[in-house]
Amino acid sequence: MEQPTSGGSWADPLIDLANALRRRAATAPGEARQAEADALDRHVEEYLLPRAADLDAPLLVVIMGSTGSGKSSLLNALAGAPVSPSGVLRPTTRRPVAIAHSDDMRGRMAKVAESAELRVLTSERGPRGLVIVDAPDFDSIEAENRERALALLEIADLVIFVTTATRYADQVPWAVLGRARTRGVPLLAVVNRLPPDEGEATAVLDDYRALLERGRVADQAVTGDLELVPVPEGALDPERDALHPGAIGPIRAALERLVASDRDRRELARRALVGALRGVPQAVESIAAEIDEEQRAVATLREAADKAYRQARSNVDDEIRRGTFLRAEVLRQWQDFIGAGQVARLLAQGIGRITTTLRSLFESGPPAPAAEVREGAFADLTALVVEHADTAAQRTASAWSADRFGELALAGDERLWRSSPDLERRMTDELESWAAAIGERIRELGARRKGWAQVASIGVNAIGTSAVLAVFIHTGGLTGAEVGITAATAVVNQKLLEAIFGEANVAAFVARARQELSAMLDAAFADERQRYEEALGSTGDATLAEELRDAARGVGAMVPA
Amino acid sequence: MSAAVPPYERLARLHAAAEAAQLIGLVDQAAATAEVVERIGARAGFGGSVYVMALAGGTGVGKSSILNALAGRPVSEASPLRPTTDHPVAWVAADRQSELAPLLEWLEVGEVVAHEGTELDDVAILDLPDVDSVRPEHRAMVDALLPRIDAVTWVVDPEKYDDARAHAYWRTLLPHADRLQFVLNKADRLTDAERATVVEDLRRRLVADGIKRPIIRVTSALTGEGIDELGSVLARAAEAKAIVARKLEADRAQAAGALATAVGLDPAVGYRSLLDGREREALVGEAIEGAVGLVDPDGLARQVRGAVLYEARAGGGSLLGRVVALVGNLTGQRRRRADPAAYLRGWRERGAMGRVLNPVRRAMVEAAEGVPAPSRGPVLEALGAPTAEADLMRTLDRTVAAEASALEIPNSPLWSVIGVLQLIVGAVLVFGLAWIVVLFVAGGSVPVASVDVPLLGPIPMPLALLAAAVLVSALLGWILGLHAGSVGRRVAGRVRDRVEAAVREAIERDAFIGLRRVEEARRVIASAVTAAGEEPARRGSVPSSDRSRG
Repeated sequence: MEQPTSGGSWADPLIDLANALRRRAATAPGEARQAEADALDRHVEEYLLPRAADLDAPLLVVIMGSTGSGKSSLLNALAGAPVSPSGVLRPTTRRPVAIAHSDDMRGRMAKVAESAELRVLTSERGPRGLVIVDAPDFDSIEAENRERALALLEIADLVIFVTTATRYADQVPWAVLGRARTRGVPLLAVVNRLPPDEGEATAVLDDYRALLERGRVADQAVTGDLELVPVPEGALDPERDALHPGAIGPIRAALERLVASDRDRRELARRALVGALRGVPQAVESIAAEIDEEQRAVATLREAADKAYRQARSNVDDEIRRGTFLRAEVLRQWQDFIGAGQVARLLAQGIGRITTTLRSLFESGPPAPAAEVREGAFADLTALVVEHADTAAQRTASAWSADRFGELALAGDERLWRSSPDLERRMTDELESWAAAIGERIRELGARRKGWAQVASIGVNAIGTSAVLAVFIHTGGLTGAEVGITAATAVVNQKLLEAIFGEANVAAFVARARQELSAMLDAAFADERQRYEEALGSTGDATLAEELRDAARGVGAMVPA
Repeated sequence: MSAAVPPYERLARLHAAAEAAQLIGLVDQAAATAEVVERIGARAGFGGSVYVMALAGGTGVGKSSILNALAGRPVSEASPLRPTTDHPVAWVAADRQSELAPLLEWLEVGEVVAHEGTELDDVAILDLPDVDSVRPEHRAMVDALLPRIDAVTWVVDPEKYDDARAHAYWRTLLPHADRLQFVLNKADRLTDAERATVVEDLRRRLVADGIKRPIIRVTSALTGEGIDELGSVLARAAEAKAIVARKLEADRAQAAGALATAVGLDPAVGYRSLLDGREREALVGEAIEGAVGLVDPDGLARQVRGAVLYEARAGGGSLLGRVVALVGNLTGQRRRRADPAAYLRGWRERGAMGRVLNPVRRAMVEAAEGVPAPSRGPVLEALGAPTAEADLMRTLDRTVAAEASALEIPNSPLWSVIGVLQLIVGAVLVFGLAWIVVLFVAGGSVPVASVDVPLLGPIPMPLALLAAAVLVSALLGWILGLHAGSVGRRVAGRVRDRVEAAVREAIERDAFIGLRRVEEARRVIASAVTAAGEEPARRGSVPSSDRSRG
């Protein structure tokens, strides 16, 4: 690999990639996709970056294998002492054990030891330049062990892959080898527990070798052809709880060569790094492709939600415009009030006589049903809003349930099949404060105009209710022949307001109140819609896939062709 | 309970449950259940004099070697190369071979090896391909075959007894734990102490998987250790009929349990409605109040009173009254105030549908929340949520239309009598008026003016006639109004009560048709579960519902 010369900037693509991957890991839908991004992020941050920075740093050798394949026995044999407990009980290794020379446990290795929770046994006599780790079983029933093992695979410089005559064709190890291949990590293969019969043993080894070649793992040998190190059944060194030292001669030889020669070690590190860098674009692409797929799905989901809520919002507007959402009972109550007592007189007589009439009628007339009518009207509007919010929720949820990611999002929150439980309360509260603000403005308007006495006599509350109703029902859209109670009430209600405040004032006043109402409804529906956005989580913004691909191209360009 | 329900009836109930699930949109679950029903029927049809036991396990644990050791000769090819067995091999007693042929064909086992022994003639032993090799087609073969197998012997070895994949299989075999045994092969690789440790460890893990009392045997196909014992156990255990019956019952119970879980029922508890009765009542009540509010019986009553008044005026009004009625008709006043039928039909203009719809939909969603997430969509659909608005509108439209056409504005003979009297009075009035005109307005230009005007006391006759006519007319009008008002109130009250009752009844009847349909389906499914008796529930082998709400 060409060591880039322009100081520091060579690492930029890797850092960009790591950043993008971290973002992906935090936002991917589903644990599997998060784990995938996380693993690649580790590979970049804990292997590629430190290794690219220093080819001479100690090599991390990871012994990987299925449960019961004899990884610990191999480590013990390599250490020459029972450092990792082996045994008949599965799975035996929990916290991974590592052996190292004390000088090597600095810098990167110290970090690795910490993040992988290694139990490191250092000694002055340990192999210099190599840190050998006994990984947990990658097919362990404990998810934590599996994760640890796969994380170690991402940061290894060299993998010693241990299998047995029983297991060599198991499916799980082959999945792991598949990742080892895209990762491009150098491999040493050990076949443990070979049958004592020479012919059978050779047959097994040949079969395994053929499988490795077919899996295109064979060309990842440490030196030349991939070496298969056969270990016969029972080749044990009980004293050290280890495989027999003689049986693993080729591994020892290979490792000793690496210990002895700085040049060999550097060469292996370089090869491992180049292989790893070459593997990056493919690994990134598989994540980026997933993001693309999610984006497409999410775009459709968003569209479905947008459409449903847009429709709902505009339906509410329509019904408000028609004014037909108010119950007849409420309107009747108001009409009866306006049609009787001082209000009727106010409307029936000329403006000039109002004051006298009002004074004379001061004590009489029924009390205004202002609160009841307002509450009734608000309850009707709330019912209308909830109705359409429910419709939108149902339409969105049923569209989403037909999609994989949508279903995932729906499963997280069972309330997505309906409007928010607090929508009714929210609408009631907001409408009340809206009415309060209207009341406040009436007070101000009344104080400025001469009509204050009328306002006072009929009551601010009643005028406020009248103003609220003027927003809900207005005469504009109604034709003469079709006028029912809604229009009839609208007409007298309008007259009442205009008698007090003047036509122009009323128009401006109602327009403002209507705007406020509209903003309130916009906000409510936006919040209803927002629940689906939250359920989606951030499945990665639209730029993430491109960012990943850009970074991967940058990383790919670091490798000489 | 279980003793009371014969097997065919239980199967019939499962079948009914599958159909019920189909009916409420749980298509996949229904298909899966129907498959189980079919499988049970097919297996039962082959008879139970021989049961099928499979040797299952990972690659290289020695399944074939054990079979070969049992047979005392090579039956299934054993080899150090992995994976070895790529298709199932059956080992059966020669004198049962022809009897077993259809069953083995159903199992799609092509290779059959016969033996002359008599001890093991109640069991057909299958050597299965491995479950964990690089060859996915092997696994697929096992996955397809395992559900049809009566009993399973799972083979492990000291190296492969804790693979995650094996655990996954064991968990799926939980309902069949009573016909599942484990064989720890390759015991020759372990010392006696190690054996005990490994067996103990395996037992612990199996118990953790939910197999309460796992049977673990130790063999070595290599040395022959434990093989004879295994053979004699197989021979002894051969109450074939009972094994087959238990297997089918376990399948049935499991399928019923799965269906129950899918519709939010805890198989251990049995039927429970999705919506608690009180809540349902409250929501129905809310919907009814909403519907009544929209239809507005009070407003209707006003209209009826107005209509009665118009009717009375038309039949028995004074001349003036008739003119007023005519004007009312022409200006549309009548349509607005005194047309109850039109008022009824116009119910949609009198409030938001949400008043009725919201509580109904809330009930549906809350009911649907009682089933697990994947079933929620279909169940909501079966509840009628997507069409709830249209359905309710139709219900109300229909009710209201029926009521509107049944509306009758009564007539009264009194009104006609008053009408005749008013006519006479009117005539008198006209006559009096004419007289006065002739006398006083026309002056003396008319010849009759020369006749003396009769006097009634001090008042001239024409004036008296006029005054009397006006008085009588007013009196008649007052009586008419009084009578029409009372009739109107009575009729309006009746109409209001009748319409309100009709709306109540319609909502009560129609709003939850979907819910009733879903509950009926769930009841059918529940009865398929309870047909199993409480046994599976007590064993805890049926997955329990994770329904969180009470």
